[in-house]
Amino acid sequence: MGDKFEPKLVGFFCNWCTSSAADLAGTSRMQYPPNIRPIRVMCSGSVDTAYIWRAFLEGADGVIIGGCHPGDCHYVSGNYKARRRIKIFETIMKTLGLDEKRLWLRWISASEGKKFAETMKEFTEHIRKLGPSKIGKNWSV
Amino acid sequence: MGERFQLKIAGDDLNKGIKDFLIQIMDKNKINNVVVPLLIPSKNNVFPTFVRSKELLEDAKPVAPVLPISTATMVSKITKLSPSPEKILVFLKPCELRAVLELTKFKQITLDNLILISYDCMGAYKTEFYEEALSGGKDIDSEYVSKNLLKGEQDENIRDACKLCENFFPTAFADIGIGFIGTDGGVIIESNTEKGEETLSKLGLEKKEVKDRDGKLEKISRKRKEEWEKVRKDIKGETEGIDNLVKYFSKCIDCHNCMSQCPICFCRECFWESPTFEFTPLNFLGWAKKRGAVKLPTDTIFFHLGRLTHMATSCIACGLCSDACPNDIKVYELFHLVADDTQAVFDYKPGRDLEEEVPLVTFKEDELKELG
Ligand code: SF4
Ligand code: SF4
Ligand code: FES
Repeated sequence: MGDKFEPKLVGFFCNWCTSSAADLAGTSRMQYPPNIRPIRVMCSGSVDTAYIWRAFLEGADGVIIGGCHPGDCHYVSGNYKARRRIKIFETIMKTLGLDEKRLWLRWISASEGKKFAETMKEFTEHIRKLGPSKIGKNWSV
Repeated sequence: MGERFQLKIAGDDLNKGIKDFLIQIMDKNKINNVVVPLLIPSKNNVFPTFVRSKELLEDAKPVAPVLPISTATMVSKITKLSPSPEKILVFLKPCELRAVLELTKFKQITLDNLILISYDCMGAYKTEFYEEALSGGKDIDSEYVSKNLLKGEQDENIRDACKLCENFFPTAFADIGIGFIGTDGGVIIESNTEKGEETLSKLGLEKKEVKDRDGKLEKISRKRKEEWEKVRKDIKGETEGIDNLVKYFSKCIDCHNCMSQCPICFCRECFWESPTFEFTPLNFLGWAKKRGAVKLPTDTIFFHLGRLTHMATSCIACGLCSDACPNDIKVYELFHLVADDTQAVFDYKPGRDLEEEVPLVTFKEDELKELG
């Protein structure tokens, strides 16, 4: 492992868009960092905020949610509701000094394999710069 | 609407005066039911009670300075499944009224046939304190009425949440409001809704103009807001960062009392009490491996963070969570802090307006673009 910090990242990716974009990036042999652990969800709107806390408390250095572009959600408005939830989550992180910059929300459609790969690179570098998260270090949570 | 009337009360006995007023409303409007704080038979505590018998109503203590539970939660138990077929007068504190509005938005209360009455509240004592006073034969109710309600003094022994309460008067959603502050002497009655106006119209009350009620309420409100800003800063300092947060909740035993008493936490199948939290040895082995150790019970901070994200946008700052905590954790202060910030994002105030949608059930297409 050495001294170099390798961010541990969790991605909640919508089945209909970002997950397919991840597959596309893979089959097109686009390179992106292996740091991200993808979790396929049926819609960005189906990610309960509890699972985001869980990811952070279990040691994720960053969490990214990927959904369909506004207007394109298969369940009509799941992504808009997700956006509000993420906003509330981010606000709480900020109020409690929990480093809200470690949470990202991005819209990546099924055809955007390249955008997927680039976003993952960007996110990994962003978290690498922030360094390890303290949230998952405390064993008495 | 918005009209004000005078309520004549003999002497200082507000509890009796208001009880008589309730009986008058019931008689003139043919209402047989009322939910009102009532002295329980053992005479050492007061609880919201569903009363039909006029005889038992004699023990009503509408403005008793105690908040053992939220009347809103009780109203939900009565009207959640269907509207009441008969009219019910509901007498409650302003914080309970705000909770009633939130629960109505969440479809946990059906307002049809309920007539909501609230008043200028100068705070409640902790249940323990109040019960001890009654058990010791102290006339704490009369003292509270004359010193605190009628003279507007703030008692140092009232609950912390009450000392910081900025919305201690009936809002526009009380069908009927009872005022003691800024009344130019005496007690006033306000009708705030059509329902309230219609109910009061049968009583033949005398109209009364008051000069500066709103200004006086606003002044107290502003002072408390300043006070809260100070507390807010302290709490923010105490909870900043995960290690401080863990310290803040270091006495938490994961009993979930704070949640069970919260009027806003209504979910029947609470995520935190679901089979998701029935673990196997493998879960513990996994955590122990990863973190080196697992504090037992685990997931206490997780529980509070999760509850915050689920309900802080509707927290009405009643303080019942702190009252319920067996280990005196300042739960309310932290929830109020987070509630302030999350509610501000959507310019939302719980209990302000029935038409205002709860932030988490709605959205705008054209908002929060900075997020994605
Ligand atoms: S979180 Fe506490 S203060 Fe807020 S509504 Fe619930 S019980 Fe009241
Ligand atoms: S009531 Fe107190 S001890 Fe119980 S779960 Fe809530 S904060 Fe923890
Ligand atoms: S289906 Fe993709 S975000 Fe809702």
